[in-house]
Amino acid sequence: MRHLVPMRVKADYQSSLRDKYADNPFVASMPPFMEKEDFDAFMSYKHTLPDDLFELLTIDAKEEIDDLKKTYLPLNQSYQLYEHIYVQMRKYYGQVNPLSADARRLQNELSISLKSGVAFRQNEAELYSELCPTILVSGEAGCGKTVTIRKILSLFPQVIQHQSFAGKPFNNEQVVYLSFDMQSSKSKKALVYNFFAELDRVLGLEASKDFIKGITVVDKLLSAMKLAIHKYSIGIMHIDEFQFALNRRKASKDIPTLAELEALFNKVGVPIILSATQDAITEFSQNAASAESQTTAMQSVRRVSSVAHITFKQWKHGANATNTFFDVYFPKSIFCASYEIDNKFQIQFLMYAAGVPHAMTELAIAFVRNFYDLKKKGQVETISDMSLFLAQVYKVRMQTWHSALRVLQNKYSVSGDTSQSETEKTQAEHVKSVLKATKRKSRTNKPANVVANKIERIEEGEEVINPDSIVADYSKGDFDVL
Amino acid sequence: MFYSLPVPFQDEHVASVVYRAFQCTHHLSIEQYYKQELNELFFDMPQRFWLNSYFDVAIAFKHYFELPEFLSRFSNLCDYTLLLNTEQTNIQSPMSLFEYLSTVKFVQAVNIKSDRAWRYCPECATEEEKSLGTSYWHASHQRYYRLSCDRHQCLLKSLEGKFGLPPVEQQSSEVTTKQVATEKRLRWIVEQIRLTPSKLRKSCLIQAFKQKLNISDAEHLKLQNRDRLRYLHHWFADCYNKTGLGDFFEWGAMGANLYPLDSIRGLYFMLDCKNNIHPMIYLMLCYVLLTDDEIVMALETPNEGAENNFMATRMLMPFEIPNAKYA
Repeated sequence: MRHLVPMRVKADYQSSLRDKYADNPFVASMPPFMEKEDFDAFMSYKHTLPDDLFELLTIDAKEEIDDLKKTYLPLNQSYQLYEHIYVQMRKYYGQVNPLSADARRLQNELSISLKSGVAFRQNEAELYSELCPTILVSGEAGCGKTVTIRKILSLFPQVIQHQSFAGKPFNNEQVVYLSFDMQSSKSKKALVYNFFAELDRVLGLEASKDFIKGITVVDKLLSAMKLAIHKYSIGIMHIDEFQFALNRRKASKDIPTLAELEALFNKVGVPIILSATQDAITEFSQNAASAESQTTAMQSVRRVSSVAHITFKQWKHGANATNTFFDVYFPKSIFCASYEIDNKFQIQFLMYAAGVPHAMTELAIAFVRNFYDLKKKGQVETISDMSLFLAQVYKVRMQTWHSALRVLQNKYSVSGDTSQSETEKTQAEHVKSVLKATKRKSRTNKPANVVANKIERIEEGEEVINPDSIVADYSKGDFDVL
Repeated sequence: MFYSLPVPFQDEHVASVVYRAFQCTHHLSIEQYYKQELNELFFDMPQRFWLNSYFDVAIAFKHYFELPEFLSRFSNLCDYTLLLNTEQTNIQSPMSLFEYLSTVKFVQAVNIKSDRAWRYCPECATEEEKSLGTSYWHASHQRYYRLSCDRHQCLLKSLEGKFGLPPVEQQSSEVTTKQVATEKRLRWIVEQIRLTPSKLRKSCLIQAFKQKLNISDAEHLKLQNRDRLRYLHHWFADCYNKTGLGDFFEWGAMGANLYPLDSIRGLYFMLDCKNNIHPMIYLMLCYVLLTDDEIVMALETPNEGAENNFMATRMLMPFEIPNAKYA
């Protein structure tokens, strides 16, 4: 849905503000701050499967099951992040009152700098004592970083149209937030193009045409970006996939350094949310010093998380969110009697998905679909053991995920270290051993059970895969492949 | 053309609003933009009209101001409609009036010094940069019959070089008593003209000029009158040079034999209502030829129920030419 132009919202000004913000239309137009209970209630969405699921048409039932993906369960980190975003945005808008002389002066300076083509100075950041406010969000891929950030940002209207403030004309189009990806290509220009593409999308205009059309010099592109940030009063920016800039190698000189990004945003001072994968953070923290940008490890670390570092962890057994997850995806109205979801199943499930919410969602939906199919066909009695059934679903549905999950499964602790009970430990060890056993068979020079007269062997580098083994997996299928 | 336009400051010229919006959204210079994107020439003189841009701005602010109000408050376009010949056009709305204005070519506009460059008050520019964060062009400073800033009583300076915002930290110059007096009288004349309905203004004034000069439309055909008129314009030029009008107008080689003040041909051209000469020329003629009472009398409008031949009944005393040769 992100391709749609967001609706422009007419500014609705809060009246009860602190004195220092009373004459600031940007702060006044921010929605009121939500307490945790309100936030959780507003953010969480639980899709409930209907009690008469098996009486619906198959297509309707499958749609209902697929709609489980819409479920969103806020975590404690979500509210922390919301607090930081709100505070930083308000502080920033407090400093850039559009009715103040300083804001107009800065805008004039930026426009002159763009037109004169003044070179973008790498060490510009050093001229400013205050660090650009940055919130670092990290976590394993699939842990819900981007979804959570974008859901929190969507609590704010993205484009606010101002017409009058305090009885005086005030014509302004304010873009409250912008979320775009760090470039994966080796080009500094790509970051700017991503920014302007997103700006065009939210404004529904071709603003980038006027800002950057025909510019080929990187410095001028970055200056245009700074001016656009200020012109459209962007309150906070989210740069996704920041790992591409964090562990920049010397050879990839076209990807901007942290110091360059810092200098880029520092002058305007707009707060930034950086989201990166956990492995990139780990690698970065081990090797934070960069000879190229002449920064020490301390400087680099401060730069990426000057406000906060929020980690999205894998979900644990017994946590509130996990319990709610099982209640939503495995409702007692469907999974009852001998098909009840017990602790053993939950631990096995979490171990399989390594506590990664995205994997949990995929596995749960696959499981429910297969369960539905068997029950609809009247073959549900063939499920003798729910754990075994789960293992079979995992094997068929999650084979593409398995190689990625395997590393996480090995490190994953199904419960908090201190509170892990003996039973949980035993069950977790058992699942791990089963998972190890499901590893690929050792290579052999003698392919067995060739089903076709002539089977072409697929070569991947030095590795030889027997295509027959893949066929064999599918041929077992009582389960659909989603 | 421009998005998210800034609200005009008090007395800000619409060109200044356009420029500020342009500066914050475009990487090109405004001259390049007009040439490359709009395929038009960019004129850095207030006497030329960027009407398309002005209308865009006026429409963007339609929530706040009616179009005529906006253009009269934030531009000097109304100064050019002061004595515009609109009889042959079908003008029914302010929009169509300004569309017509964009097609009019004023004769001798180049010679109006006060309308050839954007003008600013150095004191205002510096003050506004400090208080508002930016200097801007005042609509009132662009009026061709103005020389000084009302607030600071200093001479307006002309922008040198490319178009941009008024420069700050510039030295101001004091306005002389003679300049103050000239400006004061010109402003008074403009006020009097504005009191008259726009359709009658030009014909009333031209009628008064003819009476004062004691000439008629057909007179140029009479050879015996040519000598009289030749002496007349010599005296006229001399009279002009002695007044303070030199701050508003300068002679130019290109316009030889076209000025109403120094040639018979130019004089007759000016006395024809169909021609559009720069309004400042008419103001200067008023200034030189007519007394205050005569101006009031010339612009007097008929009361309701007055006879149609009212205009013919107004008679001004012909101008006495102090030239022995002619006598």
